[in-house]
Amino acid sequence: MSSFWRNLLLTTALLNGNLGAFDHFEGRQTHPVATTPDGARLLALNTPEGRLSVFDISSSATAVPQLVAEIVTGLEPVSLRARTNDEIWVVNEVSDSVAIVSLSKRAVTAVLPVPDEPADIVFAGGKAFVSCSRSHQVRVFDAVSRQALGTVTFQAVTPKSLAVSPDQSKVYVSFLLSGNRTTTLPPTLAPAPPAPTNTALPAAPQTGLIVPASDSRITYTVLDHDAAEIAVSSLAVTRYFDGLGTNMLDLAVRPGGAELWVPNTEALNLIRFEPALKGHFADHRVSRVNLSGGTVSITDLNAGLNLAIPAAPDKNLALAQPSALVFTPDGNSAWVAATGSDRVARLDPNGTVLARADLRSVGTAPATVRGPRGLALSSDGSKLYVLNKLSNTVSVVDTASANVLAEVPAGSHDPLSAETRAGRGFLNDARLSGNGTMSCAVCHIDADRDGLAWDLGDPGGEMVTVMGANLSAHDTTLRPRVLHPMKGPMVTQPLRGLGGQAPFHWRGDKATLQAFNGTFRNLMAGNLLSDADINALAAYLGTLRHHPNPNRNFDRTLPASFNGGNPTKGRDLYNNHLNHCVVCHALPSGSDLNLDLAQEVGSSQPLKNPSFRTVYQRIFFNPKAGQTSLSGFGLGHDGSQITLPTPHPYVLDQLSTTADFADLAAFVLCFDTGTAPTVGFTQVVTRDNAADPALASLWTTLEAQASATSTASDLAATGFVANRARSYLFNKTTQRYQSDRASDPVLTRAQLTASLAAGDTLLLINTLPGQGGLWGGDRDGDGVRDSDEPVPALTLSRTSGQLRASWPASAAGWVLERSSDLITWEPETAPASLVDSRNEASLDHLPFRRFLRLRRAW
Amino acid sequence: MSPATLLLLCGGMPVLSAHTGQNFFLVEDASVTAPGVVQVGSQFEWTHADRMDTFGIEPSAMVRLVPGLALGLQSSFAHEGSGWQFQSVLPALQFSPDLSGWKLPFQVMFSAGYQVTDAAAGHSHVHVHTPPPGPPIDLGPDAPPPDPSGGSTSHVHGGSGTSVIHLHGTDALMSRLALETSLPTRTQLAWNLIAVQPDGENLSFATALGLRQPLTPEWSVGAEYSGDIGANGQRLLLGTVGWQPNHHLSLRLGVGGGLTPSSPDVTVRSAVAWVF
Repeated sequence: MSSFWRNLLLTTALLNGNLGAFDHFEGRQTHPVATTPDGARLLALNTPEGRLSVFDISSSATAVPQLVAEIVTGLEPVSLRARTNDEIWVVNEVSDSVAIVSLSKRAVTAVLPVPDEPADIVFAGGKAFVSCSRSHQVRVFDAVSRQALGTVTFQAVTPKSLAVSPDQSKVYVSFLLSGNRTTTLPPTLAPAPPAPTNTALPAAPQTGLIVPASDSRITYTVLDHDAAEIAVSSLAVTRYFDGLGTNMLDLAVRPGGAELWVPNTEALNLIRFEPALKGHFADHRVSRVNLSGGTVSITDLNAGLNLAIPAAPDKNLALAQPSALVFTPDGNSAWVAATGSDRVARLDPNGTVLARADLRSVGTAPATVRGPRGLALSSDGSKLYVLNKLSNTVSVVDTASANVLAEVPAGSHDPLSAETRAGRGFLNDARLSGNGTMSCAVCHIDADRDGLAWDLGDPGGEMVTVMGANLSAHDTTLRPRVLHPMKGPMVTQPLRGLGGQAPFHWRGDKATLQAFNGTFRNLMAGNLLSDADINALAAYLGTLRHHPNPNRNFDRTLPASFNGGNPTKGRDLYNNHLNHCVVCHALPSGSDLNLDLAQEVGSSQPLKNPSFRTVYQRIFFNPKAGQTSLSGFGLGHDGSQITLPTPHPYVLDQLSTTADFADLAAFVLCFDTGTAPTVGFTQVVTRDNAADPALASLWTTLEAQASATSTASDLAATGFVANRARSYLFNKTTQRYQSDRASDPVLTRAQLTASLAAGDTLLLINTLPGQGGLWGGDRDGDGVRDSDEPVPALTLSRTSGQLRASWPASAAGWVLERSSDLITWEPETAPASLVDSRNEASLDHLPFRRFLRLRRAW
Repeated sequence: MSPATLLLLCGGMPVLSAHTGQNFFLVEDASVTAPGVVQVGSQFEWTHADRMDTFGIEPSAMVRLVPGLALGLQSSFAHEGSGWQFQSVLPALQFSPDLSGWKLPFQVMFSAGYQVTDAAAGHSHVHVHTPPPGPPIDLGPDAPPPDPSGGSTSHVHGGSGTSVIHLHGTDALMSRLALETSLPTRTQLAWNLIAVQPDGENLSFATALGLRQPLTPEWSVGAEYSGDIGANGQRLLLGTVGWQPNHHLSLRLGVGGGLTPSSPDVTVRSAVAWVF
């Protein structure tokens, strides 16, 4: 066996060690928590589980939200808004859908399909606006009839958060990856790199240089539209707001409508080399736009703090990654969630920090990273509800004292393992940095990208040797590739889809994910993680999947045409060894994981052949003279080069016609990401639409993708059948649906739809392979079907004159309800305490003659 | 320092695709060095493609062996971003038969040589596909149908993997047919058919056409075209100017660009030749 294949096998074996963990997409929560208009219910997203959790917050007797319902909405729900007290619209990022939920029915009643990776939703003027991040548009629907009204497109990428003016005449949208008007000066134009400070190093290779787009050597224009204003009546973009920040993490309109506030991070990527960026490579800010004059005022959330490393005496006050902002009703203050530092802070009208609340002070173990991502105020303004993404909990903060009153799980079940949750914490926790402000996630936002390039070279570093083979010449002999530490600009890469892709980084200079441990010390000025912690981080990263490529057909085939080319012809050209594409960009990821000959791709230093799985996401750079770019950085490792399909100067022999190149480019833009397009798809089935031929066709495709011959996905169905909550899993072998009760007969599709009664809704949901059981009748994955799980017994007792109800604490997701007539039931909101592994609630406040029961919240 | 050494140093920058005679960049004329004459020279090339720059230098020499037969030796060095590297050496025989008795309106020349490359710097010439050991890998929905051989055996296929006119790092048999004529306007016209067969691979062809118009005894202008035929995708067009102050020395400058997406955006070439 050659040394190359031996190494490849070793890598594969190491990665296989992570099999069995719950893969997911690290949904980018935008507005994941809200209250109903009457203030009686708190709505929170349990994103990993794809459910909307409904809490009763109507009781003044307790600050603890009482979980009363959990409703499956789709894969990776990230935002929600209540249109009425009963109708909730939930945005599902992976499902590419908006699920319309009826709280009274505890079910999704309709699904609106929307373009790729929706992020947020608002209602204004009777219309619903849905931002669709990856397709760079906002879709508009009639909020009542749900008919599509139009599409708003932008001169900007990645629209994310939405907000509405008080008079509902304007909708504002912020752009996550708008950039900061920096770009790469190519190596041919860049000055020679400085001499290394490590005198043992040879001269650095000639690399590019990150410069302001205003640099006289840059001949193209780079836009920096950070937010936009949409007229609700005409759906026209009426103006853009520039210069607000690099990554816009949220936005909100101040009551009164005079100001737009945009929490953001500002990247310092014009500073060159890792030692110069150590401990401070981004600022955390709130930018305030005066909407009448358009002027911008910016407040650094850490202004006035002494965060100079190594001492950083004010580290425990730092605020990192402001990801959510909500105003008090009077507009005199605002609360901001600092995701990276697990704090929320109250700001005055100038953005100055007035108070901070430490979310780790109460509730789940102090070491657990919370990751606050959503904020909602109670109707009286006395409580701030904070949805913590990383701990998957909801914290309740007293707005007067800034004390944390309570913390409850965001749902009764979290499919992520403890190791995965710990690993997520290490990626996001700015408290691990030397001054409490920096984390990996500042650039790898939600384990993805920031849309920038950074020069994290080190003039005082060491040469690194990585072995690579001349596989482009079919020579598997490993040869040393010697890499200089002054590597030049490198575009931030997503941390998704890393399974089976070692070595890592553009140059393959990290053999394992654990090899990134030095970043905690060298860039973030903190301490190295322990072996167990860095292993947890690596295990977590191994669970992250790419989204499906929206450019492919629903059944995962290639479209007949795309972007002026024929992807199928392009695929055949790609796979033809005479054209050499597939030799280095091997299927399935587009990378053979090898560092081939640098000169083959015109590089001044060795590079790992990069994957093609996210090319479709990164095509907004046009460096031709006089042209306008929406991004300052392109497809190449240093952010240069854009022309598909030859972003590097390799002679693609056999390709000689414009049509050939268009076909190949079309294929690359449709490159499979490793996740089937059906994954996440949801569809409501009712008795009325069950016979719809279009639905039948979709359903057939879903079943085919979940069949025994396909490893693309699983298919589940959950909702109400014969007026009872039921779930089903499509059996790949028998092609039948097995219910959540083992003794039930398996059903054909026709039998299943025939079981639907009037008013029943069944949500079809296509999942990642192996995960269908979560929504298909075995939620906790213990092999016991949900309806066969033991029912917790409710015990009533009178002790010392007090009436108490108790039930096993292990019965998560069961709700204590009360009724006076056995017909109408409502949650019993008396606070329950934990006594000897049992939940115990005092019922002395109840009127005489009340019935009590435990009901499963889902 | 000898004039030849001086000229080699002065030409000190590269060419990847010269293969030319005294008067052209992309085309070889049909002349074979006169008796007792040694011709040395060097070409320099700067090429800009997809925002990347490459440089090349190609020193060469040719000496007549017997009437109508000359031996040429050409080597190439390139700088493609990672320092100067030796690329290849190409010894070649040039044969120009005396066809004066045939009263043909053109002169004919054949050349044949074998390019030997630095194996560490470029392609090997045999493409052998060996499935990796272990269980088969799921290559995803875009993988081609399974290999008819079952994927368990190695096989060899053709395909140069490069352009004929930009043959890069591949051992190959190279041959050329040149036809040359002069029009009444003293316009020199040369056409080449180029054939290249990398080791173990298929024969590929390219063609080249050159035109040179003397303006004065010293100055001339011209245009040259060279392009792959069929399978390969590079097409180059150059405008040239030449200066020959005396019988021994000629200097040339060419500027042009590619005509296809895989061709260079811009290329600038210069050459110097000395005839002893």
